[in-house]
Amino acid sequence: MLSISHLSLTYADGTQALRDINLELPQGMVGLLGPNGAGKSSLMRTLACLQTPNKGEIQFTNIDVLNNPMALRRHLGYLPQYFGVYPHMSCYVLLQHMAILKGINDKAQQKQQIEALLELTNLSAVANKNVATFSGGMRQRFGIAQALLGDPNLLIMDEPTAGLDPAERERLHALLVNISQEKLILLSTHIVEDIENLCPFVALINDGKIVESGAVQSLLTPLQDRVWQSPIRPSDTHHILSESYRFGLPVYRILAQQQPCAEAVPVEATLQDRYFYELSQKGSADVAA
Amino acid sequence: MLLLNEWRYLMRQPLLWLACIILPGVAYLFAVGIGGIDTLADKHLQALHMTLLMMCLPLLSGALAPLVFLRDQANDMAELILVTPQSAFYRLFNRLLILFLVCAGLLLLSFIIMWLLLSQTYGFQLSLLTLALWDFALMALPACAFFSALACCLAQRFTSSVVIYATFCSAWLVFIMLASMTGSPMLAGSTITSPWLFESMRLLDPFGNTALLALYQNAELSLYGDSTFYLNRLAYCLLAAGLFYTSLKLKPYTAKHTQAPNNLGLTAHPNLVYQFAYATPSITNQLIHLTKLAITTLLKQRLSQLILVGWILLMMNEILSGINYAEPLSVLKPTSLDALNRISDDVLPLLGSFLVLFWSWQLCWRNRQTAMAELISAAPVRNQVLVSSQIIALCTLILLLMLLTSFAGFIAETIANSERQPMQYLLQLSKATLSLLLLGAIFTAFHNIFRSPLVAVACCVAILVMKFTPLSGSLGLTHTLWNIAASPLQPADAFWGSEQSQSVYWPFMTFWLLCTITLLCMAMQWSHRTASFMNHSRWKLSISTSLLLVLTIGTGLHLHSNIIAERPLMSSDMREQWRHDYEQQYSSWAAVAQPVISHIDAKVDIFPEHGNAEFTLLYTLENNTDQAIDNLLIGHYSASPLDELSLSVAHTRDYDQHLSQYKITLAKAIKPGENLQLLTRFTFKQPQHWPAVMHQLVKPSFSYLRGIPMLPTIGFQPEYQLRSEPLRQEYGLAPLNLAKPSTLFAKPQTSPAQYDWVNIHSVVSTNEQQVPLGQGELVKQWQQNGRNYREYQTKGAIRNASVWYSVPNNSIEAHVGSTSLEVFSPDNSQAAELHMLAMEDTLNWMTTHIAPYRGSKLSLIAMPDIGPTGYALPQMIMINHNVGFRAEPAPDAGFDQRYRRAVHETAHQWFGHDLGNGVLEDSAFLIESLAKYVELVMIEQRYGIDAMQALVDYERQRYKVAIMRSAEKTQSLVDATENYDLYSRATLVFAILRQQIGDELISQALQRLWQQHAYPLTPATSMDFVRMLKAQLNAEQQTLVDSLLLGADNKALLVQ
Repeated sequence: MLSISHLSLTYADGTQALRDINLELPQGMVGLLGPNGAGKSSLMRTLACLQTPNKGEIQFTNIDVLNNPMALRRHLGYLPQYFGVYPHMSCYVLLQHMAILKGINDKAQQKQQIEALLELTNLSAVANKNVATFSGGMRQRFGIAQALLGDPNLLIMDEPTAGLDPAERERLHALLVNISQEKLILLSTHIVEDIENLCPFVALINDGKIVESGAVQSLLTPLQDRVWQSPIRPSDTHHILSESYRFGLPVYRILAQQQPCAEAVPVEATLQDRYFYELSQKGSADVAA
Repeated sequence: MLLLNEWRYLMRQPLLWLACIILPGVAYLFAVGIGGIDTLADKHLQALHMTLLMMCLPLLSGALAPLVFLRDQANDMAELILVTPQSAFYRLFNRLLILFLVCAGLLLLSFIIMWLLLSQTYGFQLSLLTLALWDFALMALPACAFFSALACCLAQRFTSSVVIYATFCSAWLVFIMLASMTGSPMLAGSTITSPWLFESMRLLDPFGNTALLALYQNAELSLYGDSTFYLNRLAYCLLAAGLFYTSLKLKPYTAKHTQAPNNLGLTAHPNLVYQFAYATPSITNQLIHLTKLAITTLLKQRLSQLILVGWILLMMNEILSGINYAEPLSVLKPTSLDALNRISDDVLPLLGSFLVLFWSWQLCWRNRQTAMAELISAAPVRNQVLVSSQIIALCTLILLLMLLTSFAGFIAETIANSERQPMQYLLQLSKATLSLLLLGAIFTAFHNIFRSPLVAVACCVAILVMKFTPLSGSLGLTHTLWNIAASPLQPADAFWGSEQSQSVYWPFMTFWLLCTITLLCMAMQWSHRTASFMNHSRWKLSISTSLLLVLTIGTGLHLHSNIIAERPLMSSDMREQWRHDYEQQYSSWAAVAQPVISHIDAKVDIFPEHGNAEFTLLYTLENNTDQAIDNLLIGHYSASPLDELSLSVAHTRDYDQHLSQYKITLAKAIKPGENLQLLTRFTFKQPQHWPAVMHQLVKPSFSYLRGIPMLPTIGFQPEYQLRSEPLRQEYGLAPLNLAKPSTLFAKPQTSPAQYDWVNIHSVVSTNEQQVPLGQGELVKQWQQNGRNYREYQTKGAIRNASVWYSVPNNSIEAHVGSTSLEVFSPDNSQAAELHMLAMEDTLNWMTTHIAPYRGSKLSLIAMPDIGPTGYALPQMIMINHNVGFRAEPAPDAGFDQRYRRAVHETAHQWFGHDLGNGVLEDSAFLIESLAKYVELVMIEQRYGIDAMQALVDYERQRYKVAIMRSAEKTQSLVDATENYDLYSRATLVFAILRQQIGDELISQALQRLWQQHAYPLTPATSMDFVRMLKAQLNAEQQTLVDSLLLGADNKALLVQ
């Protein structure tokens, strides 16, 4: 559905944000996973035609995105990582503003969809309140609502669950899963669990490069029967995928063909294991964190 | 330690580095650019300091203040900073201190630059350095403290950079306006409009400038302040402390809104499903909606509302403050034209442009400022729609501004009982509107093209600086196209409406319109869509935009070539270069014997409706020298090349196109006493890309063609030489070493000068609606081919300053002896009668007491507002229609300015065109100062001694203000070159002389002067008059004359 080839982007200060990215993304929900500064937002902005790459091509369905950005924008729902709102405008009026910009000209349809989206995002009760006074979570829900206005075939969402409480997060997940039947929803986050829960397809990005992409299961297959969990730090630290805590006690996940230590027990491989595995492979400093 | 932190932050801000470049740059430009002050280095330096403080400090502190005080809020750092263990006092004090130190440091650097530059001119003087440091300590530091504290206070209260920018910009404009109303020497054309205001500003001026300027009035120059000055500085230091204290107590203003409740305990509807909505972006809908939102958002802002209300009040005040002002002691019965002229050429374009910049910035960067840019940018809205919505919103706001201006004008006119002419509003304001619209569109284009708001605003500000400050002139950028998005349109006047410059409007505005459209097309193509992200397709042009660009460049080049062709020497630099080249090339001709023009036979056909005049001139050239002449140098006006040049004798010629000079070699030399004929033909074409100016213009309502410098000249013209010594040095010319007239002509008969007088015979023609005028007696008049013809012949030789006119045929006539007097004015008003009376009185008195009038005819012509208020040529006088024919004396006027001016110009028939010509090296004392003497005599004779005393009091007041503003060293009246000496001081001097010596002795001296120096005798000099006068006086009176005319002490003149 979305084809990216040889996409490179270098900022004016010389930072190479994207390096020869090649991706084929199918319909449905796609997760873009990567550490901070990996290039997720740069890729998302480029896909949303907010900035142009130095080179490369982007094809969405039949649209040559770089040569015809307006055609893509007609099918685009976009939620940036950070956004603000105009002062002195209510949630409803601001959604109406975005609806008109997106081309929902029929007033009845406009009203119907805005009201439906307000319900879906649980904002109906504050529809007439000034958006500038919204809390972080409410503002995020407003952002989701505006992204869903119209009939977007490509939804690009940068950290959509940031600031949402667990209940709202679940509601968003349900909503996204429901609407992803005939659309491509590109979800960028570093909350691996969100992607694991939602996305059948994932792309791992680090240092401006796609290090791996494919169906989640296919990414996990190489790790199957090789992941161990131990409360004790093994002597060979090279194989530690992650070090986390549960109830204040350390939990080590280790990649090894054989049992790395006596306390280690075999566990199911997760996307997070693959994520940390890829980061460790690239020697990223974020691994230790 | 915290202060060091503040510095570490500031030194990383590009704006600070920009200020570090701009402020010293401005100081440099001021120091090298503000000239005309060449004697008093210390006064010059202090005036520069005053200028720099007034022009730059409010802008500097206003620009840096948000960086210092609002950075936490602007960068979402407030919560991080507020939780640090620093007291509010300590944090705020350090920020205040760093702003104060940065402003002070930059000013000190600028003061030092100014001192260094002046030291290059005047040589090293320790006193100058001391003065610079004194000015810094007592003028700059308190002002820096005040502005820093004010910024601190505003930041604490409003936490808005917009409020700070708006306040400081307004403060800057108010200070400049106040300075112009208190006679600041740094602002051209400023006068003390109210002594009360001046006295108030001595205490209230934040820079202390007015208190220092007040001291300039003293005869003994004092630059180091008086008690009022020190009180003023102390007051501002205390005010700064008070503002800082207040800012500690202030709580930030918060908008009245409450935090929206979070979830309100509502339950979700799990079964609700997402419904898509069919979307087809409609350009019209998007455009209407975006525009509407932009306008309403902007108009809902409290600041915008405040600005618009302030705008109405400002315009009303500006109109009311001078709607009936003609000149001092003279008022008009106002009309809408006068009301609009108060604003349409300065306040409206200046403040309007700043407002347009502010609005364009708000409209174009609003999405980025509210962090909505990514959402909007990702929406299916075309660049064209985004840019167009900004433009339409801006245009709507500009139209609203014009509507409010009209409203303010109508209210002001109602209060002032002015004659309202709605059409004038439409005509005048539509021109101002188009200019603002174009400027707004250009600003919008910059905001869309440049991804950095700083760069975009810097470009916009650069345009405004070029338009409204003398910077472009200082940089030598004098081309009229540097006035971006405008034309050299001149104010309309009641005489001929906009006729003076109407022709320039559309050629310029068409070009700017094309430029703007091209820029907008580029902006639409290259727009960052308000999000400031990279766009690699920038700087690539579509074919249509490329074609538009080519068309714009072509139009610009065409316009430029027309401008150049119509006025080849359009800038002072070009004229100076021409004069240099002329002197270099032809000064050797000064020693070559040349014939003189003894007779001019002119045929002048004026075509007012076509804007041209055809000249056929037959010169009789006489060899008055004692040697044979075989070479001639004939020059012509560079803008009017000769169509024909022929001589009555065989010759060869060599033409210098660059300097417009013909070198003629005669086949047979003309012997002493012999003459020859020179025939020339040329056409004067009225420039269409320049406003009509003195002294040659042909327009449908009024045509005026002075012979100098349009007519061909014979021989080397010494008056073309560069006379300013610094300029001569700059161009590598030998100094002229001209002594002052009092030294040069200290002894009689030292001048080898001769009169340049000619007999003139003219046949002048114009269209049948107008009357053609020339010098001399009217010999014949007739009509032929639908044109009016008149033939004139001078009674004898007159000064070689020929002139021809075509004016509406409406005049009154009178006779004084054998002299026929005529006044031409659009209507036979009481003013025309008054001018006639003044001419009669002057003619009678001068004939009785000094010398008879040489001519048989004297005409006075009402002229449009194109420069001087009065101007005299032999047998012709021109009086500005506005001040001469529309104005009346103000209720508190002690004398009638119209009568005074008519007397003055009539007196020039003797002082200037009879005596007072022929000696290039002499000053204008014999011309202007003696005409002022005649004013005193005639006003006393006609209106009594009180009216004469009122004139003296008026001139004394003018003189006081002028010397306060001037940094020139006082010279003797005979040597003086400044207008305030030649006019105002001369009035005061002659008032004393009349009182102490009496008119009879002065008249006798003048009679003797005429007897000994009138044409064709040796030309008189100012010193000849002094000698004649002294010859009739006793020792005590001679001492008085010496002190008043040859001395430099002016104390006695300033005493009531």
